[in-house]
Amino acid sequence: MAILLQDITKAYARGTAVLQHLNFAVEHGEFVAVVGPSGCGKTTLLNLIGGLDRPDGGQLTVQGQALHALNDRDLSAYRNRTVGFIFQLNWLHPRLTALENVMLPALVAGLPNAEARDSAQAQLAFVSMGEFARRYPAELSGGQLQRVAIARALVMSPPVLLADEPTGNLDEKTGHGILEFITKLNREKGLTVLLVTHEPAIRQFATRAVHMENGRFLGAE
Amino acid sequence: MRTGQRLYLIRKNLGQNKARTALACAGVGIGMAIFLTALALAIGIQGNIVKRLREAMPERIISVQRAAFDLGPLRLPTQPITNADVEKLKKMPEVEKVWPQIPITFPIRAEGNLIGVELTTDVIVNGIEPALVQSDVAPGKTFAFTMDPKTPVPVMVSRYLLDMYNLGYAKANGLPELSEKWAIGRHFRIILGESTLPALGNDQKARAVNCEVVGLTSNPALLGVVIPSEYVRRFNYEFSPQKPPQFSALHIKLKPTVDIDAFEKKVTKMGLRPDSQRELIRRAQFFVKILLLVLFVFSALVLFVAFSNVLNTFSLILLQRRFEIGLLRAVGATRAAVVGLFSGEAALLGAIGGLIGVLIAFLLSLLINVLCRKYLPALSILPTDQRFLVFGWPLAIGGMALAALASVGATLPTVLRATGRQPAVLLRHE
Repeated sequence: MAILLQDITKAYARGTAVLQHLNFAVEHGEFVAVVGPSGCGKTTLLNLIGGLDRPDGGQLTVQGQALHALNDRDLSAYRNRTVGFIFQLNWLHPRLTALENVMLPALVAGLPNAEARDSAQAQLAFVSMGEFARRYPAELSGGQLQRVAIARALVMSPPVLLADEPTGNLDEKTGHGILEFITKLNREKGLTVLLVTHEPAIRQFATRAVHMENGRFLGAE
Repeated sequence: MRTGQRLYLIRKNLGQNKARTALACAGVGIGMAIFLTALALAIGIQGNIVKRLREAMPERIISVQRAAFDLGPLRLPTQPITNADVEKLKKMPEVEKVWPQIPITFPIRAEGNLIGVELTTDVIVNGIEPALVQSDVAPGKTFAFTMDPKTPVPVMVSRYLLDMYNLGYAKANGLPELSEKWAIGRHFRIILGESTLPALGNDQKARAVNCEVVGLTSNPALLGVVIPSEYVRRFNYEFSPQKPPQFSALHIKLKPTVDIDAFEKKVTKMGLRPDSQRELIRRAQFFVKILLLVLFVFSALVLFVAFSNVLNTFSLILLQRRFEIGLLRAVGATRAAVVGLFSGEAALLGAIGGLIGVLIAFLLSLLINVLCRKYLPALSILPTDQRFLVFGWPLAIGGMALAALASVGATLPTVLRATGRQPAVLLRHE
């Protein structure tokens, strides 16, 4: 099992329960789309699986690692090597070039600069952004930014890819291209993909879709 | 994250934010410049003026004179200090040694060439035990009695006499100022038994004696000219044998644990008066201590304000960089790595700011020293090397290290607070 959630709950400081006793599993190599309206808890779910936040209760295991029990050092290593994250707003560092943004996880992992640069260059070429390596985020279009974000998510060759509304800020054509690319990664590289979206049409790219509302799963297709 | 990668990211960040980097460095630099300049002044005062004041008033040695009948400007001694007083003092448990100061009891006139001008003046000469001024004797010179009549009589001159000449006589007569270096080794003559005042009369046996200045003393009790006491005893016996031996002052060395103030009160009851110059120097020392304290408080306040600004600036910068911290954490940086990265950046900024502060303070010190040398009179209490502000390597290195440490200290609370949050929280509020 690539991802396993058992009785996961999460509430924010105001006491509002965002996730309520979630049970969920994703097999290795699956492409699962979690579909639901805004505010239903999709991003919180993805943040927990990505190790960006901690659950209040329950057990969360990804690639055999029990996230709820990891200390900061191990959880950081997990974020660095086990999951690649694509955010809706791409969240690239504005003062680093495209190449340096992609290098960032490798630098954080302690890879020598030259090695990090080579890996980043290869990933940029893979997402067809090789020629834009020296450009800063402000000099790139929405689709190009998302491609750079994908390259950054892939630079440490993680087995799991998490995507939070990756097409939310893109026009239909560009968004379609990004989704096709993610599908290609799933099929050709065998990456486990978990994508959350509010657009029901996106479910066609996934092997399985799960509906979510008010912090609960409603059922699978 | 390894050091190389950390340095790479620090260099990228600082390089991409030149205006912010310059602003932070300038803030630290100006604060450090004021702090270091004040510190250089404090070191200069402590190392030169306080040291000279301390030398002027050796520990555990006090000078006493006979209490006078004081009518303001008219001060009349009641009776001279005699051997009986010396013996009484020697028997006191607090006293280690007593050195009597013997006055010349007949007129003396000094004459010599001063920068091409022949001068003659009456002088007051006292005899003292050589041990009392040994530390003031110039290197290679001797202050002791010798039977050889060809050897010049060694003379110690008060530094304050030189000050009086430089500030008064030299200025009034358009003569150049004299330095200590010039004075040491000078030869002049004293005419025993002669005076420039006819009323005092001239002795038939009057004779000239060659003298050599072998040192300058800052001891406030030794105003005028002093020579070894054995010469004075012999001169007094030669020119006024009928006068009984008496002393103009006594220099008393006390045992190490003695309370000087209590002893001075005891001596006052014996009809002796502790030297008022000592009190003046004590007040001067107290004034200098207050000055140092004010300087320290002022510079510490300046530094506090400077680093409060740095703290404020860094807090604002870090608020703007929450997303950056969240991003670093999201791609796998540990909390310690992020703290190290931002602390390293703050340390580098602080060190650069410190370097700027060191350079400004160094140049300011040079400038102030040049101005003081040009406009202040050559007073003996002022530093001999004319360095009022002492700015050395330890201060420069210490300044940079302090700036770096203080910058890290100012940044650390904000970084720790920010990195204590989950990456999702840091990214959510961007």
